[in-house]
Amino acid sequence: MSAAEVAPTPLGPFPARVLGSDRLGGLALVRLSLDPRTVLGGPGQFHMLLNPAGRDYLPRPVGLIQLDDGGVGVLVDAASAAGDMAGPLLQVLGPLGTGFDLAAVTSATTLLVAAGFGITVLPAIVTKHPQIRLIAGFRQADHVAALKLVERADHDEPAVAPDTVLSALASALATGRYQQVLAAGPLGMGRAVAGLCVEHGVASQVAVEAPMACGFGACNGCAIELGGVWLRCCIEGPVVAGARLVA
Amino acid sequence: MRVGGLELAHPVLNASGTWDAEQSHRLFGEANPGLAGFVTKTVTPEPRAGNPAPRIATTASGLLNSIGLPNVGRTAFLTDLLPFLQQHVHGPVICSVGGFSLHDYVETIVALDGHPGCSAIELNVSCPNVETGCASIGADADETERLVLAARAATAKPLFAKLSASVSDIAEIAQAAEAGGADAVVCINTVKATVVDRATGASRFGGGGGGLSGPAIRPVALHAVLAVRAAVEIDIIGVGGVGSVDDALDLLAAGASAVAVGTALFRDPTLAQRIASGLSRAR
Repeated sequence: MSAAEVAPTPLGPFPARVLGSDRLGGLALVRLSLDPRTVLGGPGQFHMLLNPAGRDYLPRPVGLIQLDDGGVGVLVDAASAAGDMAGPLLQVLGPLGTGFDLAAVTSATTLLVAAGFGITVLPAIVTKHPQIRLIAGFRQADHVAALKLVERADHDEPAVAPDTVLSALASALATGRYQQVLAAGPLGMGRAVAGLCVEHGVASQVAVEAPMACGFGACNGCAIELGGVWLRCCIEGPVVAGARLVA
Repeated sequence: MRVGGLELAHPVLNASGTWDAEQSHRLFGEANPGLAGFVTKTVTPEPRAGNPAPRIATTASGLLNSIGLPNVGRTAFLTDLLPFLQQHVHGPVICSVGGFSLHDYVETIVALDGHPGCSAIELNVSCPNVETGCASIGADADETERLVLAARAATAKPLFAKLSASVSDIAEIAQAAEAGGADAVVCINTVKATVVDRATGASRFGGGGGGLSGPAIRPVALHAVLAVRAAVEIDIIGVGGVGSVDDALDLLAAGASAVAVGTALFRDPTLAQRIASGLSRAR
C-alpha cells in the first residue's frame, strides 16, 4: 500500500471543498461540499477542521451546520473565512464527542441558551422544533447576525457583552414553564447557566467549549475539573449534565 | 529491525503523550494504527490530575502544552491499562515512566519488570511541565547516570532514556544515559516555552511553564540527534516535528534508528501509517 493509499479511519479525516462564504456581520458562514463518507452527527457533537496547507498547524473544533438549502456550513470569524477556512481544500474528522440527549425536547418545555459560537450547536434542534425559545448572547454586536442560523427559533433580544444571557434566563426559569435547558458556550457561561438551573430545579445539559488540539482524547488539552474529577471534553463531553458543572 | 534491543516491524513509533490507544481502539477501530508499537503516556507512582487549565496554546509553528503528566497512577496502570494494551496493541508496548525521585522511578520499573504487557521502559527525564523530578534529573549528567544505573539494576527489559534539548549539552546527558546502561536514547522531548498574559506579565498557562512541539522544533531535534550520534554508540529514537516521510528520513539520516511522531498525529490520526508506508518505499 502506498502512502497515498492509506485508508482513513471510520471518522476520517475526509476531504471537504470550500464552496464559498457568506458574511454574517463580523462572522462568516463557510459553505462546504463534504465527502459522502462524512457523517454530521447529532447536535453537540463536533468535527475537527483543518486546512492542511494553511497557516494554523492544528485543526479547530467546529460544529457543522445542516443548512436549510441542503448544504453544510461552518461558522467562523470573518478573518478565518478569508484565511485558512477559505480552503479551497479542507479535511474533516468526526463526528466526535457526546451530543445532547434530545429524547425529552419539546418546543414548549425546553429552553435553549447559547453564547458566542455556541449558537452553532443549535440549528438542528431548531429545525426539528421550530418556535423553541432561545436566549443568546454575544461578545460583540457584529456577531449577532449569527442568529440567522436559528431564525426559526423564538429568540429574545440577544445580550451583547457586557450584558449576559443570565438575567433573561433567570426570568424564563422563574415562569416555571421549562423542564430542561440545553446550553452551549464557554465553560464560565455554562457553569453560570447550570447554577441557575439547579437553583430553579430545572435539568440542564451544557455543551462546553474548551481548547482542543486533537479532538480524540490524545492531547489532554481540553480537560476540565468537575467536582474533583477531570473530564476530557472531547470524549466525555462536550455535552455534560449541568448538575456536574456546579457539583 | 532491532532498535534499543526491541524488535520493531518498522521505524515509526508515537511520542509519549500524543496518542491514546484506548480511545483510538474505540473511535478508529485500532489501538495503534500505523505504529510499530505504542509508547504510553508517562506513568507516575500516584495518580496525577495534571496542571490547571489552560493547558494548550496553538502557534503558527506547532503546539505549546502545559499538560503536567495527568495519568491514572501506577496501580491502575498495571491492573487496568496495561492488560488492555497487551491485548490490543500491535507490536511492543513501551512504558514511559516518570517520577519525582529515584525511588519513584525504581518502584515503578520493578513493578513493570514483572508484567508481561510491558516490552520496554522509557525513562522520562525531560518533561518540562512538572516542578521537580523528570526534567531536573535529565538536566544533570550525574543524576541521569545514577537514575539509569538504578533502573538498569531493576530490569532486564530494554531501557530508553528520553532527553530534553533544554539543557546545556544533550550529548553529555546521552553519554551519561549510555554509561548507566540505557539501550537507547529518545531525542527530544518538548522544548521549554510559554505564552504570556500581557496584563500580568506571567505565563498564561495554569501550570506556569510549558513545552513547544511541532515543526518549530524539528531543526532542534535534528541538531540534537546529530550531536548525540557523535557522542554515543547506542540507538537513538528521533522525535521532534515529524510530520512527513521527508522529516522522518532527515532524522534517520542524522543518525536515528527509529522516529516517533507526536503533535502531527493531532492533525491526522492516519499520519503514522502514511509515514511508515512512505518509508518502506523510500528505503
